[in-house]
Amino acid sequence: MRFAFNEEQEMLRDAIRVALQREAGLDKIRRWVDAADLSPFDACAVGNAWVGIGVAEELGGQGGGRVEQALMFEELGRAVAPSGVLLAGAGGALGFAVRLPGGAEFLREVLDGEGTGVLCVPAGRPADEGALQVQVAGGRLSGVIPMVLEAPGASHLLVPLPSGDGLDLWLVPDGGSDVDIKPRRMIDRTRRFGDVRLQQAKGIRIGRLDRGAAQDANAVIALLVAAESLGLARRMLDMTVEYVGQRVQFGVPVASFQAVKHAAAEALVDIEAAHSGVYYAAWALQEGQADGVLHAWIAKAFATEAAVRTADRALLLHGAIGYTWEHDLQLFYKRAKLNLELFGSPRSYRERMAEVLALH
Amino acid sequence: MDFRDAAEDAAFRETVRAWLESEVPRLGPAPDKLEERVEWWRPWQRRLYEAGYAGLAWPREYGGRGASVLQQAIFYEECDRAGAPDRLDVIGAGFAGPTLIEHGTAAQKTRFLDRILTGEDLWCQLFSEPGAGSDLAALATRATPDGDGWRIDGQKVWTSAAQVAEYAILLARTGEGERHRGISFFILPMRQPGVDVRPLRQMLGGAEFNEVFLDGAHVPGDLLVGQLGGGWKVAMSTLGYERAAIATGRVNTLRLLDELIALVRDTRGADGLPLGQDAFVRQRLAELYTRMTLQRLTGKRILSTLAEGGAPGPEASTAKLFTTPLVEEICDFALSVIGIEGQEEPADMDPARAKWLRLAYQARGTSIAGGTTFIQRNILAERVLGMPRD
Repeated sequence: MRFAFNEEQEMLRDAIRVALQREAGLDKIRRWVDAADLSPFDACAVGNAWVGIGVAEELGGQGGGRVEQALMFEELGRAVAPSGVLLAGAGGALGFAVRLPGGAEFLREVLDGEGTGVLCVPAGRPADEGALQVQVAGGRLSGVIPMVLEAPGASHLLVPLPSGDGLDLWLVPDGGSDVDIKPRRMIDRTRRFGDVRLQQAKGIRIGRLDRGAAQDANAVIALLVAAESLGLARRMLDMTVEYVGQRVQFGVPVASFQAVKHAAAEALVDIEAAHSGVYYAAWALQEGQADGVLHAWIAKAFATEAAVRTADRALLLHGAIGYTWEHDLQLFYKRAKLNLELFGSPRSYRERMAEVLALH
Repeated sequence: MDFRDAAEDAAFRETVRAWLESEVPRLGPAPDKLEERVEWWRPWQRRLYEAGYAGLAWPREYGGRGASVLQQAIFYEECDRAGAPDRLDVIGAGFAGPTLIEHGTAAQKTRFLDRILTGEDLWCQLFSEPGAGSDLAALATRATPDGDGWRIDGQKVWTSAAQVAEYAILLARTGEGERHRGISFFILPMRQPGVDVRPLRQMLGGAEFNEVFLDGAHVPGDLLVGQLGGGWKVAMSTLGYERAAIATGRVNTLRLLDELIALVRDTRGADGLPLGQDAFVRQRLAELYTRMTLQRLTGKRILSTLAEGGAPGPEASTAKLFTTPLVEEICDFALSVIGIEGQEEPADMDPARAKWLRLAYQARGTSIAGGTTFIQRNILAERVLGMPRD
C-alpha cells in the first residue's frame, strides 16, 4: 500500500501551479470578471493542454488518470481559476461520452478542435440524474434544463435523458433557433451558467449509458469538484495564516492568540481529512474498485463542506477587510459556497450513502 | 499511489487470518475486572509471542519480527476482524519498549524487552502530576541520589493500569536546571514499599486509572534511561509513539459504525416507523460514516508515510483531533437512539448497550489524554502552520 504521489504526479502538479500563477493570477482573474469575459482562461486551458489531462493519449489527450485530474483540479481551486470549461467539457461531456464505444472519438470529430461540448444537466443535481424535464419525439428534443454549467458559449450540448434505469445521450448543436440559452448571473462570477430551452431541437442520439456507467461518470465530476474545493480550502488557509501573522492588534500579531490558532488548526484538520478522501476516491475510480463511486460521494460531501467551513473561518480571521470586494478572499469564499451545491449537495450524496447502508 | 496490499503483505494477511481463526475461538470470555483480565490475557500473549506475532515491528535483535509498520497494521486489522482480545500491553509494547530500544542501555534491553513481549511484565507510565498536566515540564517529583541509585518522592496521577504493572516509566526531577532541563527518565519497579497505588474513581464509577504516591521509592542505579538530566528528550520519543498509536486508531471505528447501523435497523421511532427511514437519522448516519471512512483513510496515509521511512506529515498531527470527536459523536448518536434507557447505570444495562455508554465516556478521556484537544491545536498551529507562540 502506498498513499503518496509519484514523482511524475508531483511534477505535473508543480507545472500546473506555475502555469496558473503565470497565466491566471488573481489580477488577471479579476480583470476577466470585471470584463465579464472568461474566454482568456479557456484559451489558457487549451494552450496548456489541461483539457487533455486524464484523457487517454489515443483519444488525443495527455494521458494520466483520475489522480492526475484530481491534482489538476486541486490546483485550479488553489488558483480559483475559472475551471468551468474543464468541468463541464473534459470532465462532463467527454467523461460521459468516453463510456460509450467510440463516443469520445465521435465527440472529438464533431467538435473538430474548435467547439466546446458541455454536459447539459441541471448543475444543482448529481449529473447521473440527467435532464429530467426534456421530452424527445422524432429525434427532436423539447424542454428546459435550468442552470447548466458553461452553457453560454458552448457549441454543442450533450444531453443525458433518463430512459429506463439508464441515460440516453443526445448531442445537440447550439446555434439554431431551436436552442435558446439564457445566461444566469451568479455571485461567483468566475463560472458561467445558463438556462437551456430546447424547442424541437434536432439532436443525434449517440448511445446509452446504463445506471452503473452513469454513476461512474457522475462520480468523476463529483470527485473533481471535491478536489477543487480542497484546493480552495488550502489556499484560503494559507492566505489566512499569512494575514494573521502580519496583522497586529494589542501590540502583537493576532496569530499569537489561541482563539485564532485554534480556528486555523481546525481548518487544517478538515483539509487533511478531505485530502485523504479525495485522493483515495481518485485512485479507486481510476482502478475501477468497487467502492470508487461511494468514495467519490464521500469526498464530494465532505470536501465541499470542509471548504465552506474553511471559508467562514478565513472570513472571520481576516476581519472586516475579508468582507470587502477589494480583498481576494471573496473569490474563494463564493466559489466554495457554489461548489457545495454544484452537481449535487452534500445532503443529496448523504441520502445516497444512506441508501447503500440499507438502514431499514 | 496504490492501496492494495503488496504481494508479501497479502500473503502475510492470509497467514495471520488463518492463525487467528483457529486460535481466537479457543479463548473463553474476557473477565470484567482488570486484575482477572490480565491473568486471562497472559497465556494469549504468550501464544502470540510463540507464534512470532508479538513485537511485530520491533527489530529482530530485540525479539521482534522486524516486520514493516504496514504488516503490523495488517496484524491489528485482522485482530479486530477476528475479535481477538484487546491489548493490555499498549504502554509496554507500544511506548516503553520502543523508547528503551531507542534510548536504553544494552543491559536494560536484555533485561526488559523480551518480558514485555511475552506478557510477563506489564508497564505503566508515571508522567502526569497534579500540578503538571498539559504543562508536563512543571513536574515536581524528585529523584535524589541515595548511594546505589535514587530515592523517589512525589505524586503521580491519571496512571492507567498502575495496579497491575510490574514496571513504570517515570519522569522525575534530578537537577536544579530550569523546567525541562532538570528532568530524568527512569524505570521504576512498581512492586515495592515506597509505591502506593490508589484507584481513582472515574465519573462513570469505574476505576481504570490511579493516583500513585511515591514516598522513598527506590530506583537502582542502572535504571536511568538516557542521560542524567536528559529525560525530556527521551519522554518526547515516548509521547511520539503514544500519539502515533492514537492517530492510527486504537478504536475500531469501522466496527462501531457497523454496530450503530445494526442498532438503527433494530429501532423504531416514536411514530412506529423504522428509524432508518427518518431523514434526519439517515443524514446523520451518512455523515458519521463519511468521517469514519476519512479517519481510516488518514490512518492508512500515516502508515504509508511511516512505512517509507518518512517523518509523519501534517495528517499525523491532525488525526487525533479528527478521531476523538468522531468517536464521541458515534457513541452519543447510539445513545440518542437508545434514549433514556441509555442513561441507566451501566451495570444494570444490557451489555451491548452499556458498551456505548462506557465508550462515550472513555472517548472524553481520550480527548484529554496524550495531549488535550486544545494543546493539540496549539501544536498544529505552531509546528505545522508556523504560527507564533503566545
